[in-house]
Amino acid sequence: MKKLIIIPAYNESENIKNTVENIKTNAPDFDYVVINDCSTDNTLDILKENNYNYVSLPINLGIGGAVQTGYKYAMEHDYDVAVQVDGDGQHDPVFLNYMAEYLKEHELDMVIGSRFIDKKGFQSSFTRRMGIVYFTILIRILTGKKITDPTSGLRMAGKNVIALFADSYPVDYPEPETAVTAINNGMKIEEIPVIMKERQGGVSSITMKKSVYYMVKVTLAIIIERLRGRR
Amino acid sequence: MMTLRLRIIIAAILLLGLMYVIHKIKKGSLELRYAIVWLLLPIVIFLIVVIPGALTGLSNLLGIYNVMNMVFFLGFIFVILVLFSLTLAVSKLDDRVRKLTQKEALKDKEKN
Repeated sequence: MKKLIIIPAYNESENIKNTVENIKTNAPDFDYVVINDCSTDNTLDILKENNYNYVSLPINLGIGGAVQTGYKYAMEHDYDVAVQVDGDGQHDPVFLNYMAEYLKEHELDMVIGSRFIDKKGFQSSFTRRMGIVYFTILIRILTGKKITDPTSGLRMAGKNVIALFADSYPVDYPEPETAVTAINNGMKIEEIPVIMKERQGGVSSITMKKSVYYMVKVTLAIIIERLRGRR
Repeated sequence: MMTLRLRIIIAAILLLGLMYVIHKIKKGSLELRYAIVWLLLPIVIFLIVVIPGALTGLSNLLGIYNVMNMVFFLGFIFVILVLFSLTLAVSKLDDRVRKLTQKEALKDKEKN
């Protein structure tokens, strides 16, 4: 089974080395590809210096476009599973093997790592959890499926979902929306408990000001995704 | 009612606008595909303004009492249409640029 880790990196010079080394040590069965989203700091130099495997975007596409590049890479190189691990060190690579095995064993199309099944590790702030609960309820109403952690970036895609995401992927804040896309297209999704850490550097992309946009955009995206039906 | 003076002013502005649009198309800085609406609109408004009774007739038809209000109403609708078509064009461009960027990056990767 060919397994790929997609690491989107935008100005992650502080973290990127740790992230990649951590993956090499803790998930040696996985190949990885760093998607440098046209960083303005020296992320690219670090990637070159250390001879890391990377794809460098000539213009900044934002997180959605960067991750989608990873899925396209996975498709081109015929990977069986692909998982996104953020460059900020929130996701622990030790879970990846378990996720891959779980996906294979249960013949799933996607496995989402959820913080809220065992309720261990970094649980996010109260207001963010409120937002997450809201999306869980919204997705439940629209698809009938319960996703306890729809904003989790730790998600492993099988071949079908890789093809789906390579074809179309949201520009920003993709997590809840793509969960609905996958369910909508008849993909088998399950969540497994994981422990996430607090980010080890950099700042969250979702500031207070952006959170209103986030809620509105993602809500609309989910509803429209549901209206759209199967691709 | 519209005074003759206003008609002449509007007609002159429209003519100037039309000439400017044509000039831009000739220079190649405005793609004809997007310019069609900008070409047709001044002509249509020009006709409406110049033909006596056309504006009043149209206002009566739509149930708008004031002729000037009708001009504003039509203009407003037109602007909304153009804005929407622009948003469509931008979305399409956005999608194309993204695909191109990704392809380029992946190709670049293959070479190394």
